[in-house]
Amino acid sequence: MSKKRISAKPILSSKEDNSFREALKLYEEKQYKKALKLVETVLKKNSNHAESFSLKGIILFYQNEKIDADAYIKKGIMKGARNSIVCHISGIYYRARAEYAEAAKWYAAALENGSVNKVIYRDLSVMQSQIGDFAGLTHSRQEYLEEQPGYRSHWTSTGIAYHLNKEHAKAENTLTKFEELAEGKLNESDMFENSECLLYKNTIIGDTHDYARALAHLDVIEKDSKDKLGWLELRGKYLMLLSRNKEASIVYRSLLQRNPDNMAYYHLLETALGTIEKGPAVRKQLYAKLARFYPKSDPPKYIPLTFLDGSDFTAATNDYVLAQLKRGVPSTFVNVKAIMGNSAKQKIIEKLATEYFEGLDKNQEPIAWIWASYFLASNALYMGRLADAHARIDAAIAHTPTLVELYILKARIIKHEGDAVAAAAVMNVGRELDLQDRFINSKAAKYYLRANMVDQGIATISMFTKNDNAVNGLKDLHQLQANWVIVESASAYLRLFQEASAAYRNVLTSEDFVALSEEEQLKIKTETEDQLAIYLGLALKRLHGVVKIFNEYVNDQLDFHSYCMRRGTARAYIEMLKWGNSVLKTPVYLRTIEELGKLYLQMADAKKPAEDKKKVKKVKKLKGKDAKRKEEYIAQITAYADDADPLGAELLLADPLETFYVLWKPVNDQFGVSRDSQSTEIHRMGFEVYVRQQKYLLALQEVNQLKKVTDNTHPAIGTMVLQLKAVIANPETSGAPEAILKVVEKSIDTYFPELGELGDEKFLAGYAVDEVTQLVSELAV
Amino acid sequence: MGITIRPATIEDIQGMQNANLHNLPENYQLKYYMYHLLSWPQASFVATTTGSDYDDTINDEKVQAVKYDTSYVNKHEKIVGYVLGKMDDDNDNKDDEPPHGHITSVSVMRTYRKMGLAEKLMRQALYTFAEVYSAQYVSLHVRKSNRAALHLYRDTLQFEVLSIEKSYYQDGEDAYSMKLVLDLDQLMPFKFQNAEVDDLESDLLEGL
Repeated sequence: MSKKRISAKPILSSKEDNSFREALKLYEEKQYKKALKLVETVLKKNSNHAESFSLKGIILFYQNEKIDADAYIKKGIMKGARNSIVCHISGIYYRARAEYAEAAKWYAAALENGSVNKVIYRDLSVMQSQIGDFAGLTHSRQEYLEEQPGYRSHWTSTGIAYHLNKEHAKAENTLTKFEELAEGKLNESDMFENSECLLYKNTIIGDTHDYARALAHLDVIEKDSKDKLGWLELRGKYLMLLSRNKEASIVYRSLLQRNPDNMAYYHLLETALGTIEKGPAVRKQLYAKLARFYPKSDPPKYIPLTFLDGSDFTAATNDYVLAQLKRGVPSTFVNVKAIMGNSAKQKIIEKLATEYFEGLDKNQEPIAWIWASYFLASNALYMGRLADAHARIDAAIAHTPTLVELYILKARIIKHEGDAVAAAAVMNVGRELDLQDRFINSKAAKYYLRANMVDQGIATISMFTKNDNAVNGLKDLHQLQANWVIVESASAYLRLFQEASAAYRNVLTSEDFVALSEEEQLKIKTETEDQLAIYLGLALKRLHGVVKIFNEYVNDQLDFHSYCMRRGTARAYIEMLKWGNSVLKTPVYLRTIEELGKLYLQMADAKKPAEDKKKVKKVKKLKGKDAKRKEEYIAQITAYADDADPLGAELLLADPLETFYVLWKPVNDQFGVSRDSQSTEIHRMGFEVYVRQQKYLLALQEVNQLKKVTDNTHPAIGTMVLQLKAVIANPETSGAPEAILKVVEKSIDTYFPELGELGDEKFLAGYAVDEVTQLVSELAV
Repeated sequence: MGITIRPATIEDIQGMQNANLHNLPENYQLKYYMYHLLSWPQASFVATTTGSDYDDTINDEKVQAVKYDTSYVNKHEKIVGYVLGKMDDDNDNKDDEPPHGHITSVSVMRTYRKMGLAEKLMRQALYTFAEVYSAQYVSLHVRKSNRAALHLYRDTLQFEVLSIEKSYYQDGEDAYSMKLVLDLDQLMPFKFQNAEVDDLESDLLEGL
């Protein structure tokens, strides 16, 4: 069924309504031109026919006349906000615009205003799922279930709605009701869906903390559960929660038989056996036994390295590290890197590896020699001994110049030496040794980007992209959501912008420049400023490219609100909703928002009122060679087909504060009031935005959140509080009503009572950080 | 930082997409990964690094710096390999065809090779296909030039080559079309350890 179907029952049978219904039918058949013609004749005869305005709006929308479409939709709403057809069309329109909260509002309004079209409940429930309106969701899922009780998916979706709304008993009852109705009537092809639904119901019981009942229920559904691994994991969990550790340990042993490479099972087994308290001697023997059962698996050999000491550790390392080096495992160093954090263990590992290396004959045992060199060079790099690392990797390359991994490490060493361009060149030599391998290609591309050689980087990675008729794979990379490329490109453009700005400042004050004629000065200024605008515009463009991709991620959930109900994959669906609620906290997204924040705040502060007037700078028409060069450059950096603003020039003109606020808010919402240490920069930026928007109470909330997250240790807190205090002390310039300022003042006192006692200076000193700590924390970022 | 192999969850898909984009020429939008995990939640697995979450003797400061790297799904968890599996049930018209699985994509980061991760990931997937989805067989495609993969599927996992599909890949390369008939009992992963078997009864701590 078409998602755009609007069933219009005749209300009045005037001639206009007949024409309207016909137009509606044409629209549903996607005959937009004919539909538009007809709806326009209706509007000519009756300029108050609200439904026709709405219909014209939605037709225009699908004909890509987005601006007119919006005007007509709004006109329809203005003339008939209580007309169910107007409401329904508006719902469809906002859904198509991905404005799901607005769409939910209008779908609900259609039903409230007497639409008898029950399918709207289904569409409404998809919107409510997407925006997290779970209370509303229970109602619409229940209504639709009552309309069509013959499908399991409607029972599942109603059960899920109650679960999401924390009505566990209702959720369970709904799912049980269907099980009773379906008793004995399921086919073989229904059994996967059935198994998923039964296990889902079990997790709902588990969520009520009644683990005894959940465990008993597991026994009931055992024969119908196809996901035995999931079943066993639940059983182990409940047994542990019920302190039936002995039985739990057997469960984890059978899970290990299924997957002896899952580290988590070993730890759960140890928790069940209580061996962690029993100490290293017992644990050592336990793992010796487990290693006999699973000699080909990594965890029983690796885990002892984390708890053994002294000679036991030395022996275990001998087995683990040297065995891998003999086999030529490239990741041997990385595999023990976490253990290297313990400096005593690091020394033992280094000593063993060095002794092993020195006992090797590089001609007799070339493979072992080369990987031991590689290991020791990695270790030297990790320990910050760059010259040692460099010498070792050079010796290795001299011995075996064809091994790609050696160049990867050498490039990393040179990067740490501070020469990004030389590092990229070395990585590229590695790439040329294996042109079929995309991994080394990606590495080379990344190193070019780090060296600010954006064009070279994109050209390199384009050897593996689908380029069609484009000069490179940039469009493909955006379409396939290659965040790493896009964000690295943005950073490169930013560095280019900063370098070029600094150079420009020097030029402007240089004697040579001052000596030039006014005309020559203007020429240089124009050219340089154009170049700066391109760097900055492209940096913004790429950062917004990442934002666009994360919007896609969030909206990708939409189809699954109905799809998963049909498949029965409710457990995975619940996980998806959790993921959707935290996806903006993904590190690469935080990096993007933080970069945007820095830029937009700078732009907001730099914007002088005078510049506002001549907003759109006249673009000088380029001619001949210059025009061609520019055209070629644009082809190289265009990220989307039919992009009207490939250089991001328009992004430079948008209101920086408002633009950033809209991007920042959803991230801040996902952090909520959690004490997530990743959120510190987000709160700092929130403060900066709110102060500039003169929303001081909200600004203070951000300081308070920063205080909570960092246990009042963040060095910026003191300055922020004093800044706020200074602003509100000056009612005229603050821009806020005095009543509000009073509240802010009181709140500062509540959150930071020590400020009054200590006075500004001592208060600030409480947050002072010594220079070394400051330096280290900045370098660590 | 040992390596762990575990079922993939939705939290892993960005890391899987990232690994795929770094390693392979066949790439997919995130929604395709979602489609796999939400249709066949048990048919995909990941190989990840594990960090000091399990080890409190380690000084954490040197193990940080995970921020901003697209391959991390958690502080110490970096996706270094994956297998993305699905059931081939799109064609409703093939009624006589028994249920069967398909491997959409497998990849292990170059720097984590020679540890048998691809084999371990595949063994998990094969067992799941048979157990959870009652698949009778599993099919996949391999690039003709990919000798390491061919060795894994044909020699180690015992797939048979059905045919060569001309120009199967976008760049024009041919593919081997391969198939493995599944036998649940034989596929139980611990059996490939060729070692002493845990009887699941005796006291593991006896005599320790």
